[in-house]
Formats: sequence, structure tokens, C-alpha cells
Amino acid sequence: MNVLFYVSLLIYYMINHSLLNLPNVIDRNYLQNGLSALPIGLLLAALNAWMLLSVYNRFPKFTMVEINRYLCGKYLGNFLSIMYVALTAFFGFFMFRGLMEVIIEFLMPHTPVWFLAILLISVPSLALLHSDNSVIYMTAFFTLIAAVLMILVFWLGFKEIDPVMLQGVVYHGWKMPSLKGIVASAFVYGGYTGLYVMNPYFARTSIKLTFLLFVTVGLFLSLCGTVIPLAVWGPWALRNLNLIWIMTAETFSLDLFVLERGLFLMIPLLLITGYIGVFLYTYKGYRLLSLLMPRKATAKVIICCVLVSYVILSLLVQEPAVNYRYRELYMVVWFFYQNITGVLLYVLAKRKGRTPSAA
Amino acid sequence: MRLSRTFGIGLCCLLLQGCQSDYKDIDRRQFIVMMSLDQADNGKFTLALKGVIPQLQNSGASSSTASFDIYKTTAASLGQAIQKVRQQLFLEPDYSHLKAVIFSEQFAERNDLTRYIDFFIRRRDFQDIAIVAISNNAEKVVSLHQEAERTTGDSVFMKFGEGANAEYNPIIQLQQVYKYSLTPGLTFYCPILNVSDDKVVSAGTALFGRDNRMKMKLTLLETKYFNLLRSGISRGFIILDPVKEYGIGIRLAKAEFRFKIEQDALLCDVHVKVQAQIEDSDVLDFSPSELQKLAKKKLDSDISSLLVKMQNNRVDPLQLGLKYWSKNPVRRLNNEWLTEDYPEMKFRVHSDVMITRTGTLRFNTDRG
Repeated sequence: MNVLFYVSLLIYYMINHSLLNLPNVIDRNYLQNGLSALPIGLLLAALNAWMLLSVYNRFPKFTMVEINRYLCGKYLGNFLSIMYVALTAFFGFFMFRGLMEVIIEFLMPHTPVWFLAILLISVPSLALLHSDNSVIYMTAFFTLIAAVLMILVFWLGFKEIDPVMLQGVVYHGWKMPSLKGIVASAFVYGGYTGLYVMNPYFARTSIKLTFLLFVTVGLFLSLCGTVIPLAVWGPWALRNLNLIWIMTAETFSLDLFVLERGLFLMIPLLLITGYIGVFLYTYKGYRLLSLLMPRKATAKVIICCVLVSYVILSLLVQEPAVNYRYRELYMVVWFFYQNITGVLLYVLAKRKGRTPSAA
Repeated sequence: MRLSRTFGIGLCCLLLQGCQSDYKDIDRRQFIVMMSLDQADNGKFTLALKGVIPQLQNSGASSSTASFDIYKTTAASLGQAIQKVRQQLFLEPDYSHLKAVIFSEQFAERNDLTRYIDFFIRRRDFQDIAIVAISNNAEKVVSLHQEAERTTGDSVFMKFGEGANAEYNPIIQLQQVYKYSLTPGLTFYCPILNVSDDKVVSAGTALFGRDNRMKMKLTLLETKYFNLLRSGISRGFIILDPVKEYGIGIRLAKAEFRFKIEQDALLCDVHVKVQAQIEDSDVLDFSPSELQKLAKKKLDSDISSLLVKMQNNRVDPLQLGLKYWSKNPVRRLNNEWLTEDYPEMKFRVHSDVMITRTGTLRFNTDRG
């Protein structure tokens, strides 16, 4: 059963980022950088996952905080953990603001932004009341719904693809990739970072299974997530779109008199994946902080402050393009953090070996 | 516990302040299903909206038998027109069911359509899959109530495959016009729909130049071949004799384009495959192979003329530039396609007509 939950966590990340993040970077810059970043991102993510899973499998009862402390010492270990918490908080905001954008544009255009921000923040704030168990069950449940919706959306997408544009996009897609493109591609596979908090729940995780999911589900979703919008809108028109997948789903016509637009399937899908994303990032941040802080209450106060800052920042950052730009920069920082810590922990774990208390 | 309760109640009170009634029930909305833009004086245009009156709405109280209402206004910008027309409405206009946008020929010739299409794509309440068409009198198309209509506007938006499956209606949607107008080297097309004898009739195809203004028109016969080349057709008729107008029916026809460089010139080989069937008894004086030869000759000549006509006008609604780009990894797609490569390109049409069915009668029937 734990394997299934682990698989659902990986797939959730893949669905979420291949629809929300990846097209914003790859598709918008297709004319300059093509699609080459997709396989490179996969390879780098697989390398990083292999190193980190090797380390986490050595310490099946430890979370990230304990592993960092044990391998890097108290100060460097805590610093690395705090950095990850900070990164989590930042990404939580990008997801939160992205989600708000969909709601503002398509569902509640006349509702004040401050009201929406407070309304939407009330759900992730419930993360403070959850346990690993409930979060894992919830993720698996919503991943299942998201997967069904995603299959429907992709199926409709295949029907609307312009075959000539598709052929052109594939033919001309092999150019020098950009760092941002590679990073965004690797980000899709980041579900294994759930182990930072839930390693004791999942350990030991199968590296082979992780790779298999990367190559099958991950690569398929990355390709569909990027190529379908390109083949529907074309690389030139697509550069003008704010919400790429929503606008792509808007072109899917179902039936003239029943459910006219694919948009009505896409919005629930984005709301589910986006909301679970904000919730998961809040939960991860809270759990790691509560392990770092001597008192749990301190962690709760910090997370509450972070959530309040989400509301305030949402009012300040109202332009979607600004959100995308900072999100791309964030992903580059995340990528370097992830790879540096991956190599560092892997080398230190090899040198220190397994301790009786850790095993 | 007490603290969290206080927080919860406080949050609820705070949220209630944000509740604004942007929600309107279905009976407070006017569903706009069709829109037209006709050229007016002083650079303005006339906007006409067709608003549906749902039959079940207040069915007991309403004495009206009308199924729609028309709202008209004149303005210089679409945003302004949409606001201005509200003075005539007593229900909130809902554009999410807008299924067709009709531009008048005069309007399409004078204006860059992308400026207007941009409006529809930008606004989230218009659906990007609405059909775009051209008419000699756009307002008349929108205002028409065709007798047999079951749902308001059926006479227009059911013509494109959802209802009738004809060879004369090349469908195009708002999002496609937007895409084609922004993709370098491409031009787009729109079906022409006119009103004749209180019916909406197909009247050919309008072709647009790179400046997104209407440049030329195709006749109905040319539209048939245009549709065949563009996406293939599953029903149609090839007239073999221009005087007696007999011919053979098309069961399935499609075209394929292949590009190659021959004697330093770009050559486009157009392979047309037609599965035909016998429909008229007039053709029974010929043998099947004679008919196939006649049809091949006719297709080769008509399709070549159409291709050259579009080439001479420097419009590429068949997107040959895109097709060439999609198969050629070193080629860049740009506007020079329309001015340099496309006008110099040679066409060679190869038609292959096969009579595959003779219906429920034999080919050589005994006619007494």
C-alpha cells in the first residue's frame, strides 16, 4: 500500500508541474530553445533522485532534518534544512498566486483579490492540523481524480491537435536548451522530495520503480504537457497566452449542446492540483520546521506568518508575468540546491556509512 | 480550542465583507449566441447581437412567442460597443454561449480582423471556439429567423458538420484565426454566408491577405476544391460536363502535398485521391474507366487553376508554407514565404479517381 501512495505522490508532482510550470518555460521559449530540455531534465532528475534515494534508503527512520544533521553536522545540517523550508515557502506562494489567477480570471472576476486571498489561504492553514497519514491519503485521493481528468483533457487535446503544426514542432524542436528549460523539466519529477518529510512512512523506496515512473509517466506527461499546446496554438500565438493550458483546453470543443468547452474539465483539474500543491508545500514546511524548532508552537507561528505573507504578496504581485518570472528564477535556485545537497549527502553518506541508531 | 474557535468565527465575519453579488441566476441573464459587425460611417461599425430567450423561462407568464431578440449599436471599438449595447438590455448579457461571429465583407476588406479577434481571445467570457464567417450583410444573417430552426442560431452554426455535412462550408474558429494571423507566412480563410429567400446559404469562401484584410473570394465550386485540398471531404459531386452538368458523386476525397526542389525551383506535388460513386444515370453512356479519366482531367485542371489563382493573389490559406516548414528541419517560417518562395513555386496536380460504388444498382443496368 505504501508503494501505491509513493507512486501517487510522484504522479501528483508530474501532473501538477507538467501542466502548470513546464509549458510556461518550454512552450514560451520554444522558438529559441526547442524541446531538448525535456530529456536532459529527465536525466538530471533521475541522477539526483538516485543519489537522494540512496541516502534516504540508508536512513529509513530519518527525515531530512535528521539526515542533514547526522551527515553535515548540526549547523550546516540545520542550515540546509532551513534553506529547503524557505524554498518550500517561496514555491507555495508561486503556486498560490498561480491558482488565484485562474480563479480571478475564470471563476470570480468581480470578487476582490484580498477576499479571495483570505478565502484560499484558509485551506492550506488546515495543514497545521494534519499528520503524514492524512496528507498521504488525501494526496492519493486527489491524484486519482486529477489523473482521470488529465486523461480526458489529453484525449480531447489529441483530437484538436493540428497534425502539420505537430510535425513541425517535433522537427524543429531540437535546439540548444536553456538552463531554465532544463530546470523546469527536472522539476516535473520532484515528487521524491516528499521523502524529506515522509521518509519514515515510505522507506525503503524502490529506485527502479522511481525510474520506471520517470521514464513512462513523467516523460509522457512532460511531452503531452508541452507538445499539445504547441501543436494546438502554434509556437508564435502561444507566446501571447497567459494561462497556457487553460487557453489550450478552451480550444477543445466537446459537444455543441452538452459540454461545449474542454475548459470546464481543465479548471477543476488545475484547482485540484494547484490546491493540493499549496497544501503539500505548507505541510512540508510546517513538518520540517516543527522538527527544527524546539517547540511545535514556534513552527505554527512561523507558518501562520508565511501564510499571512502569501495574502499580502498576492495583493502586491498582480501581474501573472511577474509571478512566472520569479517562479522560473526560483526553480533555478531549487535545482542548484537540490543537486548540490544531493551530491553532498550522497558523498557524506558513503563516507560515514550507516550507524546503528540510524539503521 | 477557544482561540481556534474565535479565529474561525472572526475569519467568517471577515469573509462575509467580501461577498459581492457577482453571481446572477440563469433567469437574470440574456444569452448571446451570435454577433455581427457591419461597416458603418466615420470608421465605426454596427454591432448586432442575437440574444436568446429560453422557451422555458417564465413559460406560464410570458405571452411572447419570440425565440430571440436583436440588439444593435454603433461604435468605434468593440469594448465600447459591448458596453454601449447594455443600455438596451434588461438582463445581464452572457457571452459564454456565443457560437458565431459574422463580419460583413466591407468590414473585412477595410479592417485588420486580428484587432477584433484579439478582443474575443482576451476576454475570458467569450469562447474561443466560436465560428467566424463573412457575409455581404452580416446583420441580416444574425437577425434572420429561419423557419425550421429548433434552437436559435441553428441555421448558422449547425452548417459546419454538427448538422449538415456539406462540401461548401470551410469551418474556422476564433482561436484558429488568431493562430493563423500570428504565425508568420500564413493567411486564413472564412466561409461566406448570405441570406437568400429567408435562408442562410453558403456563398463561397473569403480569403485574407497577410495584413488580415479580406483580399479575394472563392466561388462555390472553388470552395469545394478548397475544402478538398484543406481537409478532405466526405461528400460531394464532380461536374463532368459543364453544359448538361452531369457528374459523379464523391464518397471520400483527400489531398496530400509533397515538396521538392526541381531545377532550382520549389515544386509542390499535389496528390488528390477520390473515391467516387455513380449517382446520375446520365453517366451510364460512358464506361467506368472513361468516367475516371474525365474526372481526373477535370480535377487536375480545376485544382491547378485554384492553386494558381491563390498563388497570384499571394494568399496561402492551404498553409503550404507551414506544411513545407513542418517537413524541412532547416527551413524557417517567415513572411518572405508569401513574397519570395510561394509566388515562384510550381504546382503539379496528380488526381486519382476510383469509382468504388455504383449504389444499389449495377453500373450497366437494362434501361429497356
